[in-house]
Amino acid sequence: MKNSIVVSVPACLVALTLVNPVFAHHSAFAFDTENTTIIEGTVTEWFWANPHCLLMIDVMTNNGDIVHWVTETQAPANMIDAGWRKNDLKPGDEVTVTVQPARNGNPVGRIARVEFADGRTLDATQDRTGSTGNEYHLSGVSEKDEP
Amino acid sequence: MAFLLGEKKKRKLIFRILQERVHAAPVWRRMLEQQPPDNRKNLVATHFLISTTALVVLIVTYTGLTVSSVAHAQSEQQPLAAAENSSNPGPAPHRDLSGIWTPVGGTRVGIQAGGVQAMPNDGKQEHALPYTPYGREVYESHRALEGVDAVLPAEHNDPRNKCEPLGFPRINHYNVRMTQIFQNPYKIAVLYQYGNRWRNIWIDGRELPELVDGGVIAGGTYKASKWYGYSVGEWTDDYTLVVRTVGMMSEDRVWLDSTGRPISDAATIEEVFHRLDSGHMEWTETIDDPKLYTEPWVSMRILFESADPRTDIIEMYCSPVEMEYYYESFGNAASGVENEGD
Repeated sequence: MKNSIVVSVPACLVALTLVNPVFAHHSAFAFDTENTTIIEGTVTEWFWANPHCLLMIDVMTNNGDIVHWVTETQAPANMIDAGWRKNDLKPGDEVTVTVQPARNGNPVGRIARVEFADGRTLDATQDRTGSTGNEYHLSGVSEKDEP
Repeated sequence: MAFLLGEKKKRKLIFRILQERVHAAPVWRRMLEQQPPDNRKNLVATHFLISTTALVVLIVTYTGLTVSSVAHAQSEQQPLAAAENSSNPGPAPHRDLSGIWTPVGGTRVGIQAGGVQAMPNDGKQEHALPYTPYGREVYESHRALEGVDAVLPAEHNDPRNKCEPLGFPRINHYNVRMTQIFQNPYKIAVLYQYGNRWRNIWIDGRELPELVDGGVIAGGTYKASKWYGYSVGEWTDDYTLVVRTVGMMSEDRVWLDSTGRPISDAATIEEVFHRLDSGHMEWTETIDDPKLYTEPWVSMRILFESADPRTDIIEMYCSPVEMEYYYESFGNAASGVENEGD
């Protein structure tokens, strides 16, 4: 396992479409949505389930300690719409994950993006059904994004 | 008849006919040679009749097989009829809600994470609900994971997180994605994607049950409250079905939405399903719950578009085992709460 590169990056500087995930289960206020952390490590588990899929990663810090990170993304139904699959990740995969970390400092966070060693990426973007439906919106219909 | 047979049986029949003719030919020849010359003419005529019939059966069977095979192959590739295509809709069918319906505007419109779609719980004055004192008290007792008063993941008391049934009308406000509607002359069945839940709306002219303590009187008989209530619909024109629902569970068992807004067993829910064209339907909902709200209010007004009727809808269940693992692995740590036994 390579040494991790754990850096905090202001979300506005991250070169990705930062997600406004469609989380139906809980709000985002336990997480720092203004900054993202990039962690690099080895997948120990990819838990494909409701209410949220979980990606667990062992991350080696610069002093050689292993920190077990648990990162969440959306429900499988949303993940499939966003192009993810149940077998996208497996234990042993080396990945770089961009997360919105928990405000309390625990090694948990919400996934924004996963990069594989071979350069492939998975973004935890909202559904890609392509249905904007703006022309149909009715009065009183809210498009409120979750924080 | 051959058209009614399955492909396997047709092939078997063709094989039997051919086999029969091959075996029969030498027999016929021997019979013919043994007959006096006068009888030979009749025998030849009989043989001709049987052979021709067999040939006709063979052709019909084979043609049927080929035609049905082609038709089957075509049905798999056929483009959608206008009535099933929301991008090029035709006129709405009369008194018909059937189809697979998905919210226009994408997934988040139907998920309604921030509260009921027409009145999100975002702290804005225009979205404040007309609570009765008891209604506010019930709301404040709820520790929701969404909305302006949300708590940390491990601090909730949302019955949804124990995988309790959402009940009605919360099922209209939680992960409303692909919703299937089937109907016959007596009832309309609404099949929700989340939790594979369904409810019936009776359209056979029956009266709306009368609300009584702990349940309803329906057709002169007492029936207990149900998670998804008792729904009766009436067509007010060829494109509009008005549905009223009563007899749901009490406020200590169900919530209205993910932000902890309450709903009680005194509620009457009115839904209007209005077909705009063959590919679009507006679904509105009004809540009248005098126990919790001082006046009726509109909670949902969502436009739905029809999806390909051949869509195989993704399962979306609440599993208590998965939920427990989620909290042990993630939710508690995100909330700064230690797992039991740690």
